[in-house]
Amino acid sequence: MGLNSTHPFDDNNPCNGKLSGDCLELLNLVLDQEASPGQYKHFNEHLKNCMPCYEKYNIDVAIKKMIREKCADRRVPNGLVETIRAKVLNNTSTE
Amino acid sequence: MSNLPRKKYPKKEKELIFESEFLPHVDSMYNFAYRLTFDEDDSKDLVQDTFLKAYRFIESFEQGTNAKAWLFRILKNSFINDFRKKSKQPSKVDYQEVEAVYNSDEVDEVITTDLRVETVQDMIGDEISNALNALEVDFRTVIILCDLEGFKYDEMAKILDIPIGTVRSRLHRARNLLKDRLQGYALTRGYRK
Repeated sequence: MGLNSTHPFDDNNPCNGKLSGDCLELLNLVLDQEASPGQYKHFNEHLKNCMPCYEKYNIDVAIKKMIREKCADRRVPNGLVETIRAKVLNNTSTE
Repeated sequence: MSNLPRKKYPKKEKELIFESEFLPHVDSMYNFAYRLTFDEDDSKDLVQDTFLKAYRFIESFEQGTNAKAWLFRILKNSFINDFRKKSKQPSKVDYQEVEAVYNSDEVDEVITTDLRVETVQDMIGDEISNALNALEVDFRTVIILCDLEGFKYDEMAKILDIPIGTVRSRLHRARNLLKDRLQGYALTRGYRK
C-alpha cells in the first residue's frame, strides 16, 4: 500500500487517533475472540504502529476483565435450587 | 427455541438432562435475572419460571447442544413477555428512544476519554457494577451475555432474536456508553488522569 492509502491497516498511515470504523470493528472482533487468524495477525501488526488503537484495545480488555471479575456476584439464594427441582420434577403437568 | 417436538425423551432421561445439563447453569441464570430485574424475589421467580418452561419444552432441546444459550433465551423471553409487564420496576424501554440512540451519531463517535488502564483497574467492583446496571436494558444485556457469560456473537443473535450485525453494533454502542459512565465515575472520584 502506498503512503497515500487511507486503509486503516496501512502501517505507514496509522489511525492518528481517529480510530476508523474498520479499526473499531476489528478491535471488537479481536476483543471478543471472534476474529479470524488473518484478522488477528493484521490487528497485531497494526497495534505495533498505532498508539491510539493500542491504548483503546488495552482499556477495552481491562474493562472486559473487570466486568467478568466483578459483575458475577449474585449468589443463588438458599433453597432456590431445591424448590425448582421439587416443582419441576413433582409438578410436571404445570402449564 | 423451536417448540416443535424433535425428540421424545423418556422421563428418566428428561430428569437426567435437567440435572446434568440445565441445573448447572443456575448461578449464571440467577445473576442474569438479577441484573435484569434488580430484585431478589423477581429474580427467583424468573429463574424458577425459566426452569419450569425448559422442562416443559425439553422435547425441543437437542441433547449435546448449547443448553446454556437455550436457557438464556427462555429466560430473556420470559423477562420480556411475562415478566416485564408485572415487574415492580416499570419498563424503562422505549424502543423508539432506543433506536434513536442506536441511530445517533453521538454514540458512534469514539469516546476519547481520559480513561487509562490503571484507572479501570483501580476501580472497585461497585463502580463497574453500577455503571453496567445504569445502562438501558438492551445495552446491559449484550454486555452481560458477551463479557460476563462469554457467549459468542452467533449465540447472542439466537438468544436475542436479532441479526449478528445488530449484536455487533449494539455491543459497540453499549461499550461506548459504559465507558462514558466509567469516565464519569473516574472524574467524580478524582482518579488520576
